[in-house]
Amino acid sequence: MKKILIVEDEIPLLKALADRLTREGFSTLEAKDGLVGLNVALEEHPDLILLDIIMPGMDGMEMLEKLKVNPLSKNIPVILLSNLGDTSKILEGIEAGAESYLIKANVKLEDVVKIVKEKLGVNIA
Amino acid sequence: MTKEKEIDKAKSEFVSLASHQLRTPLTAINWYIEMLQDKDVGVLNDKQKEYFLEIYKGSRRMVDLLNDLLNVSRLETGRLKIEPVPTDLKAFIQEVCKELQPLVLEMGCHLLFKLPEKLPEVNVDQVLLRQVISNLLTNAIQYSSVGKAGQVIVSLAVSPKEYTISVKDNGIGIPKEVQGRIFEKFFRADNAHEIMVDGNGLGLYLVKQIIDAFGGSIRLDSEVGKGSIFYVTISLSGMKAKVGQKGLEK
Repeated sequence: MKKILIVEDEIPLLKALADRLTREGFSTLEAKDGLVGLNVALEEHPDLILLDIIMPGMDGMEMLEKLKVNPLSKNIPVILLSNLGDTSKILEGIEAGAESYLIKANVKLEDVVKIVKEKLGVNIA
Repeated sequence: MTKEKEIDKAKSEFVSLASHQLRTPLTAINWYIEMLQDKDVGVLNDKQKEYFLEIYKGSRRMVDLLNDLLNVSRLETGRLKIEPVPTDLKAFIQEVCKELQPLVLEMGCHLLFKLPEKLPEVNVDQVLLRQVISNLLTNAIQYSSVGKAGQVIVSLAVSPKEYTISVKDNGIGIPKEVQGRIFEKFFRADNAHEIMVDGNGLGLYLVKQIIDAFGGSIRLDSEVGKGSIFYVTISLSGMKAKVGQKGLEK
């Protein structure tokens, strides 16, 4: 079973993502800020990380940078999931090593599931 | 900076902050409505489905309005940066059209393409060009599909120096006397109001502002009762790309 770490400080969004991905047959790990997220990533080695950007404490960009310099975590694909839609922010995320950047308000959960499956090479129904 | 400009800047910054803050609860509303329609959590009856669809449509309209307001605020505070990346223009246009497929189906519209077979990669800001094409297409689909099956044709023509994207519809058309005003902020033609098509009067304003920022031009041919064609022309050398970047998802 593929393991997905969701790092998101907005509890309703965290719960929606976790519920939907669980129903798709993934196991999920949850973290509400970047520091906890980073520790969970290093201990649990998820197959993919869904990462919010604006969070209290360590934000998503800082967590992404730390993931990418650590040999233990640098190959884990990261999808940034944010409501910041400036082109410069998106390019910054992609340059920092994220696989994709999705604007939460503009995507359905179905789109998130689709891209997670695509990145993990799981069959898309 | 004059007092008036300071007030305008503060107003735009407030709109930007408020729009960002509103996006999160709206995302939650949309995602949970989507999950309620999932058979795994229980089956809704037809009336419930109908009501949820109305909530969803209202909420999506609010997201669209916030997105437009955010872009207006970026433009008006000079925070709009153009970030071109090398792009397969044909695939890009098809991708944007695909995203509008739910609207195409809902309105019962025929969406056709006239795209050249082979094209060189073009440097474009994908986020901004996506907004331009999407706004023009949304209008074309909505205004051509009132009381009949509308037809929208998206074309692309490339010359050595520039490319032109055109969006043609067989809709209600724009009266001659207001054609000079359709790119004004919050302007909507009377015949657009009459047929009860959703709109906030920001779509074409944003299109024009973005095209101006690209150094391009936009032209309109329209006749009431027959339809409209919008032509967007952008110089091939106008945007220099940041090389080595992957395509953007959204």
